[in-house]
Amino acid sequence: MSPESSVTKLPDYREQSPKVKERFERFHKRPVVLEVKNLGRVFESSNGPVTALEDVNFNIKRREFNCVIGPSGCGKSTLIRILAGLDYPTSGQVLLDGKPVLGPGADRGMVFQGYTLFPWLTVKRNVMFGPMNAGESETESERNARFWIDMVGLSKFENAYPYQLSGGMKQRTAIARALANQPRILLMDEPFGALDAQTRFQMQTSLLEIWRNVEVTILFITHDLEEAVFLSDRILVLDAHPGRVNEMIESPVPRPRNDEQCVHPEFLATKQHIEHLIHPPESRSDTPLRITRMTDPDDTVF
Amino acid sequence: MSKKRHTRPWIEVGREISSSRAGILTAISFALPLAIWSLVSYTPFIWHPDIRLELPASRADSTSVYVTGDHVGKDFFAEFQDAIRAENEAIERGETKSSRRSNTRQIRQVASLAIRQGWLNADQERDTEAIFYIWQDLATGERVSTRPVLSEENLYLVQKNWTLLSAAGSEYSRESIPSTPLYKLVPQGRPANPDYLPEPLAVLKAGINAFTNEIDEGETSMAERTLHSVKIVFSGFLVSCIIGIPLGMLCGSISFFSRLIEPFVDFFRYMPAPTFSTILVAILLANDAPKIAMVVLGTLFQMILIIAKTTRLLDNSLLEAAQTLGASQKQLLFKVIGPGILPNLYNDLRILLGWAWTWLVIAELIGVKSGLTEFIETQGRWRNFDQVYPIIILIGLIGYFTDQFLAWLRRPLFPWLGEPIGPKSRAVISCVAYVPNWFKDAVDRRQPNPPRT
Repeated sequence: MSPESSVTKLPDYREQSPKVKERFERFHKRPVVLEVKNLGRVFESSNGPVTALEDVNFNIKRREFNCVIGPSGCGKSTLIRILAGLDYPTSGQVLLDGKPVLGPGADRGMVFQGYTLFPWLTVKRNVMFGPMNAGESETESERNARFWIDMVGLSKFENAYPYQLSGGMKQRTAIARALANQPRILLMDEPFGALDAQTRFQMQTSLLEIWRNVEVTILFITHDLEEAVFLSDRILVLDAHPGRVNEMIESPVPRPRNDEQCVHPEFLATKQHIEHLIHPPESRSDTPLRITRMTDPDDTVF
Repeated sequence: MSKKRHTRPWIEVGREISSSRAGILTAISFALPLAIWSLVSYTPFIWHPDIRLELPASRADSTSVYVTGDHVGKDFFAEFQDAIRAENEAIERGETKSSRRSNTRQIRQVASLAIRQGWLNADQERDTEAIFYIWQDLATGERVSTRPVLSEENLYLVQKNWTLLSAAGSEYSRESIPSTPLYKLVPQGRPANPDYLPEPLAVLKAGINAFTNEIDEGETSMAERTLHSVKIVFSGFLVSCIIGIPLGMLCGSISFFSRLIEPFVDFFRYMPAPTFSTILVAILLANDAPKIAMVVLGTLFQMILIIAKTTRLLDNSLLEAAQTLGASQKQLLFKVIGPGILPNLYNDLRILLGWAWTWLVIAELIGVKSGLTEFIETQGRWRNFDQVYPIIILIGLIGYFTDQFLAWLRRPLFPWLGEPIGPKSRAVISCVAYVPNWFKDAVDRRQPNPPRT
């Protein structure tokens, strides 16, 4: 293989096909669901204050699928915890439908990487947890739970306990549980991070299908570039130390998405651009490992 | 062709042993101490530092009188035998003075032997006439003692004594008792362990007797004592649970209560509960109340701290997940923390119930002594240790089987843990499987159904 052909010239990630362009024009007319204004979070530590997030500003539109990506230590998790109301900002604010977020609530569902299903409840009871606590009747919430469980494809397991489920099935249950509350926004904190590659791809496809059919806005944290490009309308790239918004990228990859798109030029261009943002070429360490040859000189593997 | 089965070694680091092997080891774990106990008890050369007397023994130069069944040291016993032989030699030489009175006492030397052989009734201990004929039968060989088998030395002495006794005729009369001194039988005995280590069979027999013996009116039967002790333990434990579980859960889940309650509880538990016994009696008077209060005092403070810790161990992400699902503070407590810590709480309570049993002994000693402890106390004072051990073992067995039973209940109570189900718990489960179902139905019935629109 010649060096020229191995590096094909990729298009600019900002070049959108007419169809995608037209879609984003409609997209920008949608109302804002979530607004993050001048958000900052400083942690007090024994070595003095540590700034996790600084002056973060962005909007999420209605029924947008947004991925947040960034190097480790960029405050992705802090950001999503503040959005969920599990942590608080030290400056700025979060507005949901124009109203400030002051604590956790059923209007912001969350799916965690560690599943966090209630082990003492069956799949069905887990999904019924939110609506029942909100005062919905048993019969009503059971009927709704069956609907959501069916949507994530777990009808056969509605009476199983979490310990009987695989990782993917647990995360499907967690998604159904969050959706059963019909939240304004679904926050997902690296939900597929613990799954094997094949299950992860199935989950991504299922999630896109659900998102297409259900009235829900998704903010999805990941550290997987392909996952971000494959799922998103827009990708929020954060910098680390302190966590700041680097760029809000509009994905040029057309919808509906499928696995063939993973080798399309616009997909690769977007991925490469994010790669450069997160790991700038100058920051990469290219020092080779100091390895002494310990095999026979003739004993070569290549 | 025979298939070669792959067998695992018995001893392997970090690997669970098969359930059949585990069963064997459990059996051995009980059989081993029992075997050691039996070995020490029934093999004379292992220990047996004492002699258990089979004939009564008394000597002229000492006021202490030993009766059949008493324990004496081996050296002391040999010395004692020599002293008696010396006394007999003195009698032979005519150096000893005597009276009818002292000879009557000598005649009774064989009373305990005769009673043990069943030749006399227990109330004939002082029936000189009856005992007189026992001497005759022993001397003529009419009766032969088997427990103990009399030594040659003693048989010879019996015959010499009978010669003296029958001097005035072989029919008993007040005059039959001679005024010339009678010979003393040389003490006989078997090697034995000290009285504080009775034999397994003696303990078993005493244990069976303790529960089957007819009791006099006004006395407390062993079954009543056991029930009383169980009542004290469980009442105390129940009161502790009613106060301790909610407080522990509050401390473990809400920092406010943790800071408010735990420091004092932490301090209070270092004050030994028994030191409060007189105060408890003064407040609650003499019946069961101060005893129950003692068990409460002993378990409650530990319970609060242990349950607080267990509550803190609950995965915090479950609480966060519940909050993002809109759970209120109250719902977090009752719908997440409650069920979430239940399996661990259940284990804590099993351990704490064991603690409650240890407080029982002290509890039953305060105020008016009662229950099993009173029996242990009394019999122990009389050195009837063969009576004491069955009761100690009984308390152990009650505690152990309660705990095992509760352990077996874990599976049906907490099906969501997915714990493997052992063959021995199957029986227990089938007996009590309806309990959680009944409980669930009861909970379901209580769910409010809002009016249909």
